[in-house]
Amino acid sequence: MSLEDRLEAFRQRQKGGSSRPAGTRPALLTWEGRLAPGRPLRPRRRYLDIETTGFYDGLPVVLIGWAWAEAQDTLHFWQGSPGDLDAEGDLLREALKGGQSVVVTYNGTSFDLPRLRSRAVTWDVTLPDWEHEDLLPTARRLYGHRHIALGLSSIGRSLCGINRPPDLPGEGIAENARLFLETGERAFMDEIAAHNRHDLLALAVLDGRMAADIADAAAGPDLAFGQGRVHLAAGRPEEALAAFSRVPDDSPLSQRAGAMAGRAARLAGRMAADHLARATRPLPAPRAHLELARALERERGDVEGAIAACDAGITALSLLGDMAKGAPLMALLERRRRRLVRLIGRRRS
Amino acid sequence: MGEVYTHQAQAVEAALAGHDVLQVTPTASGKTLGFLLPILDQLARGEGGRSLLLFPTKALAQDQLAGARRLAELAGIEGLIETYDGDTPPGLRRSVELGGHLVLTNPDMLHAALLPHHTKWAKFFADLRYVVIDELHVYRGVFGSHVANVLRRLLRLADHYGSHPAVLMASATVANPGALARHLTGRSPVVIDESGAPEGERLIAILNPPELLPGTNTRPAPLGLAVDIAAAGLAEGVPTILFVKSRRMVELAYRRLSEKVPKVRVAPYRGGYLPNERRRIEAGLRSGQLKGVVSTNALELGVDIGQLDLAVLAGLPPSIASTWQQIGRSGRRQMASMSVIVAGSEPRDQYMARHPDLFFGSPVESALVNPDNLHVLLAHLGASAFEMPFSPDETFGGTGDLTTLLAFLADGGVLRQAGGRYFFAQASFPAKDISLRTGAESNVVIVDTSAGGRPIGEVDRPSAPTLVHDQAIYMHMGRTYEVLRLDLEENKAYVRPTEATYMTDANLAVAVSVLRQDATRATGGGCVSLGDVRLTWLATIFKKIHLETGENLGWGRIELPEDTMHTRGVWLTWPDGALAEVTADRRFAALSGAGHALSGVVPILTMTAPRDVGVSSEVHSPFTGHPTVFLYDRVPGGVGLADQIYRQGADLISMASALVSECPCESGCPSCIGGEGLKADAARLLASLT
Repeated sequence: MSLEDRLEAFRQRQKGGSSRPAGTRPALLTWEGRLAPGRPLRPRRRYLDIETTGFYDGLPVVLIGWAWAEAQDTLHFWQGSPGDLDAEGDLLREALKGGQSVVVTYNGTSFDLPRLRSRAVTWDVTLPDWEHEDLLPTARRLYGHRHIALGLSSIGRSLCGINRPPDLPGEGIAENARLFLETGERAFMDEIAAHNRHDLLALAVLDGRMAADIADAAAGPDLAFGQGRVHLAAGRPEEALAAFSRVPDDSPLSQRAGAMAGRAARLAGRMAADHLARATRPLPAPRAHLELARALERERGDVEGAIAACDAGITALSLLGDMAKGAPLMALLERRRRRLVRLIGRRRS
Repeated sequence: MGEVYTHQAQAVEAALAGHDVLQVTPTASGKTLGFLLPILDQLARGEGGRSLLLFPTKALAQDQLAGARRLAELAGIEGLIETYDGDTPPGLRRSVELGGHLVLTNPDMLHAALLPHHTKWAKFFADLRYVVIDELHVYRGVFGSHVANVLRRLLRLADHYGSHPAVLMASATVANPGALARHLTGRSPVVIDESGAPEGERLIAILNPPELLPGTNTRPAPLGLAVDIAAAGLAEGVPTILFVKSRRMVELAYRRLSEKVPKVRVAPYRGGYLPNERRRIEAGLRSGQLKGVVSTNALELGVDIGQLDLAVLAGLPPSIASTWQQIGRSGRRQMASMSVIVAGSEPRDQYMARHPDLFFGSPVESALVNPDNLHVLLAHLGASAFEMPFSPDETFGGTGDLTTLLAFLADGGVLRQAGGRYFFAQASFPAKDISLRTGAESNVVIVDTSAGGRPIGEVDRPSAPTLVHDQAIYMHMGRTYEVLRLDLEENKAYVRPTEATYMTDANLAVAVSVLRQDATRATGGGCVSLGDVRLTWLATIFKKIHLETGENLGWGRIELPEDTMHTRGVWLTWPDGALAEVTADRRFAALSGAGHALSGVVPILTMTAPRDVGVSSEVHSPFTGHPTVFLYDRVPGGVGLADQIYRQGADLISMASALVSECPCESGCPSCIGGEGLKADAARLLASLT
């Protein structure tokens, strides 16, 4: 049986399948223009967002979108898409040219950049060594305690008041890309580009809002707590300490702020005990007691106070009830307490 | 380190000279050193270079990891030597991807994790010097056909990254090691098959349990006698391994053995145990703390379990090569050893028991692969295109011009031609849809409805109508489940746990039609032919068989649509007069008896399990117009079994004829024609073809 015959027999066992006409297509489709978001924008930032047909490395990038501020309130965008699958390399070469600005993404550390890196390897394209900033982790720190949805569309709507018109949902991108390849109808890619532009706009506006929120010296307790987390993660313990100090004792965030302020104080080379004392109340917080015991002993030489902190930690752990999970912490508290008691004994003798 | 054996020296020299190498020497002859030394040599010289070591199982890779590290440490060589499999912690994975010097993994991981994510491994592939394939003989049949394509994908990517790794292989004895290596890798290695390692004296006994009733050839199951022999050895302080055929039998034999020798430390070993547990048992055997082990063929491969002096095999393994592997588990350190094979009642066991000369005197079987099986090849072409687009002038192993195949995939929407190249065009992850361990297009997932819809296992699609039809009893990890519903559209079987004391056995009506005859030749008074066939099968009824007594407890209907498959087949045709002496109502039974004997000896000719080849008999075949027995490859498209059966048709017929004529039963039994009666007619049919 010839190969063709065998394939025909094989075909009978398969479902579906269609042949598509191969048309002449441009190597790259591009979209370029300006947007006026009506919000302040940051200079020297290049916003990047890509669209793909799925999460796997082997699947192509179907659109790369860039945006940057031309004036304080005008956003310039450039978007490129391969006219066919063989043009992905051309797109990467065109779209990934080096730039001096900071490249800003939302979830880019996990998605956009690794995917571009992977596709660049496939197409033998050199990815520039960008200075990169991913807004998602910062957004988590700044707003995560508010329990708001942190997807780009959601946070853009809830935080920045961006009401994007109904557009192609993210899960429709693969299907639109397929339809474009099948039919050559640019309208399918236009929809993807529109979706991408909304994301770029939300990204740029969010960046401006976040920068303002981080710099807001008059922030309320809620935002001050977020600022402290951002500063702490960025290695700015003094600023973090100042921000956490603005969270009052009667705030629901006071206890968490105390724990983080203790960490910031240690990094800044300052006394942590007072901050850590905040972290031990009102809810049972055995680990904070352990930290407090450590700080009292080291910073003040207050061994009795440290023993009392260990005792409070052991009581707090008992109150939490989950002894199996808390066993390692209990061991640490008991070990420290024994050592402190021995120390007192030695001092007295 | 002391001196190396001659075969190890040859392997190292050939590898260092840049050749692909295949070592084919007995178990425990030190093949590992033959491929580790050249790899470590390049590291010791500071030449860099990465090596990918493939083992058929995770356990074997783990086992070899310790040895490779020990050797590197002895030689003072630094480098990251690590396994990369499902058990590798995420944190370690990135280190291995970026800086692994020796990466030990398995084909499934290579297929689904390394190759599709090759961009993460770019440095590794660019610097790839050696690909090691240990236990080469395992890669046969469907599995081997898939692995051959995985290796095509690997070498294609290596080529893309500019490396041209040498392939170092090690295999147990098979009849066609060089050909197998060529089929699997597309390379023609230097074959080193003269072992320089000394071997201890080896005594092998084949025991045929006595008939229960003289003249019936009905014999007890081999497990009881095998346990008795193992217990006798252990009682005398002889380190012993007992091989049985199924996971369930491991548990059963272990229980019986523990009762017989309660003071001796023995362990069961099989797939399905947690990795840590398996490592603990292996370590116990190596250190001598455990004196015995009951195992499936999981211990057939080269996991280091130290010195055992007695191997007992409860029933003949599926192939001669496999039998030698199991026997090789005793006497690993050049000391005298003994192996006992207890024959079962299957035709091939009985044939071998009566023809031990065949076992000792004949070469072992050929290991067959068919990497160009369209079902397998097309799936991997899609996966390979996902990894890197295809140019039409590329080759893929030995497939030659790819244009037709690529165009076919493009026509089906899997690929898309653009700019003269073929790109993967779907939004899926193709490797996920390819299971290397089966040739079937898809699997049916077994879903436990009592556990929130948790999948507990899979069966290949063609087996589903007989194994997981409605009301079937499905056994998994020693538990029994009742199938509530088989949904073939969704490829799911919904089950719930049950305490059933019976198993189910489905009857499958198979019709074979010939699509094309490729070859035919006369044999005796009939002829044997080869070609493409279409199978149509329909599960009709099922029987309920008591688990302990084997008693038939009742039956039920199976309401499923018929299914079809294209594959390769061999058919033996008799002239109409061949059945003239048999009354019309008994002709089918006589012909089926001959078919049973023929299919019974097929596994002896081919290196495959008995279930790999199916049989169907037709008193008046619509295609031949005569009495015909079809033997067909059970894998869609075939893996080459039918072609081999055709080539060895004369041997097949004479062996089947001898099986029946020499069987001590009077009128037929499960060991020869499958049931009672018509033995003489079946024997006459077979003899007429010799």
